[in-house]
Amino acid sequence: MICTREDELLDALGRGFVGPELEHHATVCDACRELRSVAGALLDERAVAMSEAPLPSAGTVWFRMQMRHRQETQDAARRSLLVGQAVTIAIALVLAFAVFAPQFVDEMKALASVRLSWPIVALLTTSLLLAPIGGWIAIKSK
Amino acid sequence: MIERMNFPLVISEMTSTRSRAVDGAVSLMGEDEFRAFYERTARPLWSYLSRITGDRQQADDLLQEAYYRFYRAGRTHENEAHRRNSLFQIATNLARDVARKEKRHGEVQLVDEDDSPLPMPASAIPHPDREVAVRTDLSRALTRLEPVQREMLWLAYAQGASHEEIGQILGVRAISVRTLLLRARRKLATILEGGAR
Repeated sequence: MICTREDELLDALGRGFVGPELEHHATVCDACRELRSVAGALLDERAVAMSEAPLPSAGTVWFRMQMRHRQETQDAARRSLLVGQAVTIAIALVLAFAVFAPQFVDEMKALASVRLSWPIVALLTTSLLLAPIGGWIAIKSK
Repeated sequence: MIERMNFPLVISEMTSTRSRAVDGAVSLMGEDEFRAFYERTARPLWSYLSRITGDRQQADDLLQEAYYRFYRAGRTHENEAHRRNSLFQIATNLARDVARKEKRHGEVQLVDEDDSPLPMPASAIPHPDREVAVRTDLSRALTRLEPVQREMLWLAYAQGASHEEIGQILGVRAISVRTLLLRARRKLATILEGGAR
């Protein structure tokens, strides 16, 4: 259901004045009657919404945007720095291992030959698990 | 009926609006440029958001978020209409995300049940309450539509956006907009007639 006069009616509704001839047409044409009902209601609603919009000033919005943007930029820079540091430490560890490992071959063989008993394994495992948790609690309590 | 604001901008505004480079490779908008753009678009955008979400508070939040994302995107736009459409597109996506999250978390949904009663017929209410009743009718009727139908109807008839612009904002092919719009219009008209009868 489309009428060729729909655009004309929509323009008239937008201007706020529908001439008598078009008005009459809108009463007899199903498509235009439907358009008038819907578009008229929406245009009225828009006028109300436009008048009641509780907008912050452009300056306020700009200021908030700048603050947030600065914060996000700093966070991103901090993240990049942390990643860089982690990569540097990893490379340093690999290099250190590559340089010093041959000197400790005998010690490592000796270490590998040690037979661990269950109590020692349990103690080591518990320590490894509790250390980060303890650290986290200590940081949180500060 | 109050005179509506034309959505497609006049030819003088259709000039290139490239933003100045501020932040390295991303070209961000300057303050004066932003202020002018905000003054032109904030009211229509808030109206759109408040009516498609049905929540004024949410519209306030979405408005600020939309401007921030638009600013951060730092895109250069072909013209003012394109820039405005991008803003509305961002706002629409934000509103959809919020609705999706609310739905996932089981919060109150905007869409009413079809069998919920409409308020008292507008014709039965004496003036000046009638205008308020008609608005209430429309607000309730809008909640019965699919979100995309609400968005489409508002853009087409309240904002006066073209089918191409609606397609760009809502991520729908322009060729489909006409059919979808007619269907949405029919549905809203039926609901409104039902409420006013």
